[in-house]
Amino acid sequence: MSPSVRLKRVPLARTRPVRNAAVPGGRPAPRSVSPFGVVEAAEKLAEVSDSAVKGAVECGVNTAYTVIDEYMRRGLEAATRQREHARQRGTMNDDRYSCSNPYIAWGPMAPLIAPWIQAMQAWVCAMSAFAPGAMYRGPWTSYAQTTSSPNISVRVTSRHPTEVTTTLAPGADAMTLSAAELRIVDPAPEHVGAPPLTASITCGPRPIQVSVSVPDTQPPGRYRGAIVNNADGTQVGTLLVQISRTP
Amino acid sequence: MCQHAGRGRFSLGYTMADPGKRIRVTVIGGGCSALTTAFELTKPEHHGLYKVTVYQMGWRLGGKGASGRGVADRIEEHGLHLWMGFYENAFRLMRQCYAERHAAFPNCRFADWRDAFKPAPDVGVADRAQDGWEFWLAHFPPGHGLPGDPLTRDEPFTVIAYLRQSVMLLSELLRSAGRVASQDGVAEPVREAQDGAFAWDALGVATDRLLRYGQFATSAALVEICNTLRQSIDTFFPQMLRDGAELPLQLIEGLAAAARKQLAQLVAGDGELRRIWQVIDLVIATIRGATLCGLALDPRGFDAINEYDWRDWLRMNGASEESLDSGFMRGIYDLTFAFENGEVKRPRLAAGVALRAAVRMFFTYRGALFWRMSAGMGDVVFAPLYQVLKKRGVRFKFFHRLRNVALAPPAGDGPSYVTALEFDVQARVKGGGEYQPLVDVHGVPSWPARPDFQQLVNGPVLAREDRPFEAVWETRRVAKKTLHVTRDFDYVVLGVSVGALPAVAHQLIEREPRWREMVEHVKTVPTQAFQIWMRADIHELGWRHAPVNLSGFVEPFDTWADMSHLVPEETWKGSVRTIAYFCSVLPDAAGTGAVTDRFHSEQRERVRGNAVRFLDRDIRALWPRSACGDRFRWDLLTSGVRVKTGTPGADERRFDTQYWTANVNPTDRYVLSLPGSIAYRMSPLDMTFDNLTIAGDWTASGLDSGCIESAVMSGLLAAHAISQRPALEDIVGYDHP
Repeated sequence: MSPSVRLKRVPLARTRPVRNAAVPGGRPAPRSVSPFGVVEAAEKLAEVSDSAVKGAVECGVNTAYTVIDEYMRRGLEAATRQREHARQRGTMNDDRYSCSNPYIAWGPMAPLIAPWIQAMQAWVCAMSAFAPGAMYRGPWTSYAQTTSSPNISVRVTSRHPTEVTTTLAPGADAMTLSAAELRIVDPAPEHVGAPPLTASITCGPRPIQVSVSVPDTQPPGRYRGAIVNNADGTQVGTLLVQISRTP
Repeated sequence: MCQHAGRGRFSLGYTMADPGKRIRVTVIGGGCSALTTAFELTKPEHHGLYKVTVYQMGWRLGGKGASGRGVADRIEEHGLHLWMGFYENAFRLMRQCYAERHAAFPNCRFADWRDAFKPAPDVGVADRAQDGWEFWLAHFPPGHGLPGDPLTRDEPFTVIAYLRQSVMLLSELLRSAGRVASQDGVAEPVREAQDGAFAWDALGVATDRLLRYGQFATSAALVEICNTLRQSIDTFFPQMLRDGAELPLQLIEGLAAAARKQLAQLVAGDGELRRIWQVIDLVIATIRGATLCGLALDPRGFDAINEYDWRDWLRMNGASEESLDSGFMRGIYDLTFAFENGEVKRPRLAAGVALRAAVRMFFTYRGALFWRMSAGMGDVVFAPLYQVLKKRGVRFKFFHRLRNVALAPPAGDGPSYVTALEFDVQARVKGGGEYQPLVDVHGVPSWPARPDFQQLVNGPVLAREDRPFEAVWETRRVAKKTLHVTRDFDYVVLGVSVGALPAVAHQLIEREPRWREMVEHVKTVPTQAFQIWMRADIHELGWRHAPVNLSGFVEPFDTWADMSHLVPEETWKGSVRTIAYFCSVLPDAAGTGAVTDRFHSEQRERVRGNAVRFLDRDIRALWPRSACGDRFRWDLLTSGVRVKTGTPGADERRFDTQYWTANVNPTDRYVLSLPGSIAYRMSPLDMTFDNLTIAGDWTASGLDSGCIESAVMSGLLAAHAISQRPALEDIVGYDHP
């Protein structure tokens, strides 16, 4: 540089890590996709450590900000994927998240709509948290209420009256699933050691198809087994089969 | 033979920025952090915008990671250096560096980073037993992928993911305990747990049912508890935050009670089973503490508990004294030299830093838990960095010792700035050229243990004196040199160690209270290390297990690593079959002031005495056949210098042919992460001085611990402070709870 000009470092957008664990993966949204200045706002809040509003308010707003940031990122990514899909460069259904991820609510198509609705809810929650004495009611609640379970169809082959119940975690429809053996639960004495039932699961395109075949000789009772995400072996649901006595 | 810097073929791959518009960056210090900054600022995407010059005292780069080749090309280290499988930033740097070096110097051995770093999956800790020592050896399976691979979005850097993994680990430990116990006929085999339910109400029902299971008397019940706990974390985490964590806490408390009961029964019982239950106890305490402290949503992340010592925090959350004194825990403190003032009776490690490092270490490692280097750290890390940086056009000024950082007078409220950098020139290079620091050892560019005096003006005199250019007391100079802002530099990267700051940055410390507080609170500790070369292989010495890195052993040397894989890298012609490194903290000598030549000699003699006593008295616990009567078999040691049996040289004086070090120089001391000190660390992103940034493992790096990864992260932050690159989001683990 010219000898006469003294350079000064550019003031940085942020100067500390984002420690809030609500940010998945330790990788918050890149600044360029964050028109709300989310991280800066969270930092300012973090700096008021001695303020009377620290605690629920700070935690609530900080969480809300990061959630919004994540919504923004997801929305932009979904839009990008849609563009790439239109150009036959990618698929729409590679947006698979772990069951432990609290953002798992929406399927491949939902990001375009749901994030914006929930972002608004998050803002409302955050603003309400500023009220004196307010308790934070985070966006998780609204998220849970707006979540829809994956669509499932069940096919049962049985000569006995049979009732099948499945429970799947939100987002499981984006995974490749399999069913573990269904073992009898609390068996009658004469049915201890009953052979397990087997079930098969066919994933995608929607809905998830669960098939259960009950042998004629299967003892009656409640059979229960885990539904497992093949990617990492985690349990993401339960399959319950109730076989009644043969009429 | 390998081409060294200056002789390889190389293309910059970009058009250099207009020379008149280049920004001049002076980097002071050649440690891991400073060189990372230089590496980042000279990446092709900057198009040569930054003109970097590195100033380094003495003849070699590396800081606390420097190494040198001595007699028979033996590698002489500052201490034991191991890389962990979660050092994502450090491995990424190395992978980029090796790829670039291979393009420029295709004939160098260690062409690929995987030639230079090898998995070390076997780890051991030593436990005191009634009649000596027990060794608990663990083989960690390969982690998914390799360190430095691109991250996927499923990387589990969240408290919730760590909690979940902790519970899964608990399940596995309980199964292990069940297997071990059933072998002894003590307990029933573990059966598979029932699947849990997903409804919140059903979780409560399940908890009640489990609590009635006879106080978790059976392993099967405990595994089921873990299963239910994991499902509650998976499914109800948000709801738990809203409604309170009473249900999972009930489960955790039940597990803790069972662990305490088991431990009480096993105090004098089966060693392996007791150790498993100790780890179970510690994991439960961690889960309980993380839940009770609300770490999952605390904006401070794990920093929220940095005021506590790691052991104290676990104790508060129910860990037993026996678990807290286990080899597992002592090993963690040993590996991090976490002893205030070097006193082994004062173990002190900030709980948040420890927890962060522990979860990264055990849950996010890739490839292997540990990696060891295929040669000296200088040869594997700093020689390639030097070669690549040289090819990129970075200038190196060896034999320049920083004497003072001068500030502009105070003016208003704005940030101050550095006006001048004052150096002592320790030696001049003949002909005024640049010092060529590397030597070739079997095709590996390496750093010599002593400078190449032949390149220096007045070299023969300096060689006779064996002038210690790296010693703090060595203040002789051949000239002074002052760099001025705007004339000679635009920005400064202060990459010296925190121990050197009082001497070279006193103006900054006097001007800025935060700097003063940082220097007062971020403490360092001396360390000691020795290396021995032996004629017998490790099994002939009586070690019956795989080559291992072992911690938690007896003081004064609590850590041992078998480094026999280095034999082919040195020049022993078959005379050496085992190389062993030992290290430990060194208690600060009471009442010491400035480090002088005499003090350093006294400390070296102290370390020598420690090593001799250790080999005579303690090493037989590891190597039973290394002793003859009540003495160590000194004739096992070799140095390439012939010593006749029966002469005085065949007794303990043979140790004098080996290598040992007392790291008491301020720049050599290890940086501690003491409870209550972390908040005083300053970030390289700090803007107190607007043309200066700092770099080193003593800064607020995000990891905040004394290790290579922390140093690299700090270097990346320093580069960001100047160039806004790399993006903070691309520094792996910076935004971590």
